[in-house]
Amino acid sequence: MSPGTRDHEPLVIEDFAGWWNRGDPESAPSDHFTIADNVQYVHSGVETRDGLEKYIQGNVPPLKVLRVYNYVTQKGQSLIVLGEGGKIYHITDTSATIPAPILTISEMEDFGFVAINGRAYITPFKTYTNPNGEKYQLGLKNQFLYVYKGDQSQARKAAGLPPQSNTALVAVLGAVSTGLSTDAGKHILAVVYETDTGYLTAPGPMLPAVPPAKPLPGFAILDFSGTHDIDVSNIPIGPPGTVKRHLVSTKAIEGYNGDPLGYQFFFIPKGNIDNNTDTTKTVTFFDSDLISDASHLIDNLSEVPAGVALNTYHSRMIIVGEYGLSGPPDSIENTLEGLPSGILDNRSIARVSSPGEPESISKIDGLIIAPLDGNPLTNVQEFRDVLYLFKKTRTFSYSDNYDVPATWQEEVLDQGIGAPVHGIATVLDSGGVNIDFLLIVDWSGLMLFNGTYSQPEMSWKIEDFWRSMDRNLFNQIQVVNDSINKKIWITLPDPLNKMMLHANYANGMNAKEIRWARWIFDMKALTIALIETDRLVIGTSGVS
Amino acid sequence: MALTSRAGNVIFQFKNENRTHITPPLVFPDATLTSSFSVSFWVKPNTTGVPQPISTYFGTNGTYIYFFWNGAQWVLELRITQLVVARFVFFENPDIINKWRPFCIVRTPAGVTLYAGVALGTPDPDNPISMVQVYNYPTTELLFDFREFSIVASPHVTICDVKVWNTVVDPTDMTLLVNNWDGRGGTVTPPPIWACPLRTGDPSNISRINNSLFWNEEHSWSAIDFPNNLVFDSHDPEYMAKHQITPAWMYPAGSAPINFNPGLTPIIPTTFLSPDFVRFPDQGTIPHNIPLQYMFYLGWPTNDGTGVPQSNTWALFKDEDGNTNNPGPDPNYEITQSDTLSLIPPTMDNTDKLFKWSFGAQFKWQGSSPQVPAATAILANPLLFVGYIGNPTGVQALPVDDLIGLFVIKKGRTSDGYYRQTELPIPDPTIRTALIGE
Repeated sequence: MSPGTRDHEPLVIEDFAGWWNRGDPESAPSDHFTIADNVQYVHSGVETRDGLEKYIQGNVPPLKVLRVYNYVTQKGQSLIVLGEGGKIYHITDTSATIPAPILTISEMEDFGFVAINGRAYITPFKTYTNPNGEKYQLGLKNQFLYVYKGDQSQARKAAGLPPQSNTALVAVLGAVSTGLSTDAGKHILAVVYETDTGYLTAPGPMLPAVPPAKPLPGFAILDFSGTHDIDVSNIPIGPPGTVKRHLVSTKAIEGYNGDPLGYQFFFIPKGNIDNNTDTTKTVTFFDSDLISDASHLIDNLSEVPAGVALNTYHSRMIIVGEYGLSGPPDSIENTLEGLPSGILDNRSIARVSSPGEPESISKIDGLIIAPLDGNPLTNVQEFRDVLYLFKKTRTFSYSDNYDVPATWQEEVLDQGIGAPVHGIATVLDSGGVNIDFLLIVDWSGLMLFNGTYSQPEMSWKIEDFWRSMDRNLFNQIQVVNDSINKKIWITLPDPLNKMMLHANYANGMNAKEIRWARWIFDMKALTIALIETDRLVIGTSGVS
Repeated sequence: MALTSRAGNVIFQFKNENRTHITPPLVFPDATLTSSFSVSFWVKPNTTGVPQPISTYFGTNGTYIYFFWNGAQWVLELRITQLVVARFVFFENPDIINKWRPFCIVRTPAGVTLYAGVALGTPDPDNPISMVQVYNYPTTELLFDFREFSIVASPHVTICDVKVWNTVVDPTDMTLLVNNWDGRGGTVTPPPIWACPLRTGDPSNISRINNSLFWNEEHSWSAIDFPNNLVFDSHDPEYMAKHQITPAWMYPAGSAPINFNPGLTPIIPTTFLSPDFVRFPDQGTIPHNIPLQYMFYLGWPTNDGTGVPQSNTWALFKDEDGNTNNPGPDPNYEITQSDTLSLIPPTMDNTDKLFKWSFGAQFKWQGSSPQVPAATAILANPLLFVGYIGNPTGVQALPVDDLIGLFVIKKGRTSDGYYRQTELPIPDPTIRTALIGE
């Protein structure tokens, strides 16, 4: 052997295939490393990952970030952030300090989010533990879905209570009309509030009652003469957030049965009060003018129970994983009434709104009940025009038949694979899909879903590492997919949360071609979001 | 003998000079360290002449209450390491040798007080000695935490009847105590958490149990004289390893000076608040969220020589909420060239706040008529000198607050940048850069 000659044959690596953590380290293929920390993959190469920089440039006090989402408003992209103490912030300006919170619920440990028409819908939830020590997530009991307009004003409860008043609406015959002005006969009149988010409440006013008695309607009942205008007074003023009031009426009733809620209401033409201050209005209308139905508003939830996940499907908003509302004094609604013995919550219910009206959710037929197996619904996602509901190890599909959601046909897609609360990769900034697959976190690995679950799982090469994660803490895993640069990031549960998984699938979206790495930080990286298509934002809670 | 608390910390220890422990250890009945403590003892100087080694010695490696016989008088010094913050000399009459004197040192969050036993007026035969306050040093900064406590005996000073309380002893109680020396710890309520058992001989031969100031008169009892150079101290290595008072210097971020120029001298004496503040960044060297033992804000007041300089410089602060904390023209907060340090308001009591506060200055000009150009007042070289109870590990800790919040991956960045200009290397990347196939 001549001087300088190595005494072994070099191993030529044509393409570095990333991290291998499966089986005996000796079994790692020669183009994989058993340690690949803080690296990222470039074309034909691998390099140290890019460094971090602070997101907010101003002099800010420390904010322990527990959850962050990209919130697209009409003004552009921003972040909606959950900090310690159950405080949610809307961060729009990276040059300034952190603004005041838009919502504070001290019990809130995490939240679900969806943006619809520039408004943010927020549902607070927490982790519960069953007698077997298994953790599960449900919406906070007696808490609600909230809506935020994106203007740093306080978020308020979604939907809204019907008008409330201590005294009934009053309708009397007004001035004599020239000719006929109404149809003669008994009519019932009521008021509907319109909120600043476009939600229409149930008709009112409702008169107060001492629980357990339920409030009674204080509608106005008047025999129209046919020749007089109708003067309506004592119209109640709405709470903050009310921008308009609408007068509604029944058509003429023959043989009134005494139940004012038992008749169909319609919006009175020109019966709008475009403010929240006037208490009187004069209307004239014929029954044939009453076209736009208002009765469906009676069946809507005036308060929507909090759940764990929000999404959209066919212009409807879906919320899953609720605990429920137990009725007065915490809320008007009682969604826990009449449950079978031993059932304490509504964990398998998905509530579905009316199309185009995210806050209008019918108590009667605006819900889907997933198979009752004792486990709560954890996630919801639309894919290829089909709605998928997930539990931790179940996947169900539903197709819109253009009838009420309660009639949608259910199909059990998989009895062994599901998704945790943050375990479906959102794409870009929409929470929707621009690619022909979903990435779903499951106990068995990172799954590629294109209508069915592909095998082997994407995390096949790092199976040992994946299976070492605590299943009880999978709610802490969050996954995002940069579909443009073909990169994936996954946050990890305790005690691994100073690390993050990174994958590059530029060489192919399959278990063999995907390249994995582990990114390690000096602090706990609890949550991630993608902004501006491919910029990864990381929320941290500190070093310990 | 070593006194140990229930937690096993050595609080008081007797050793001989070559640091050999004496066993068995004594156990304190009350291990709680509070913000107030009292120590009382009787001392008798045996000789005059050159200053003698310490006769009593309290404190920690940081702050000390230091009491000793200087050959002619009793001296109380309050120290931070070697820095004497305050000194009091107790003037005795010349005929003091071989005469006993009781003292009591009381430490509270408000300061340190020395009581001495004196005979006032016509002595009450039953209570001939009165414990009178002879010195008080008010300080809310120098905590002199009661962590270790030691007494050093010498052939020149005899010590007796040492008692320790974990609370403030009322002077009335002290007076009762020293006048009813009955070997049972006195009648002070609450009882002392420790009374030195080596103080006594056999009291049964004391003919007058209610002693005069001069104890050993009229009875044959005498206190035990400890062997020459017997050292009582508390430097138990295991305890001190975890309870070091650790001093630390802190340096401001950036080099912007703290200055102010009012333009012209004021007509009436006026104090101006400088708008300049500095902060001291978290370099990861000081643990978070622990009480501070002492804090000093140091600076060098000067001016640029272009006019009439300021007459006085005081510290100025902003708290963690950004609210100005102005201590006013308080001597404790004045910074002069002969005394460059000032105290820090007691509300900044936790190491976390060190990083959240801002430090500035205020400058006073005397009035003048006519008004003339004023110089630019400068507080140069602002520094913080702090002490905390630490556990030095030799490992630099991560700055806590700087790593909390929102961060974004920045393409091309070669290190991780956090808040307040903290930069850390990317942790142990497996590969720097490798272009495969070339």
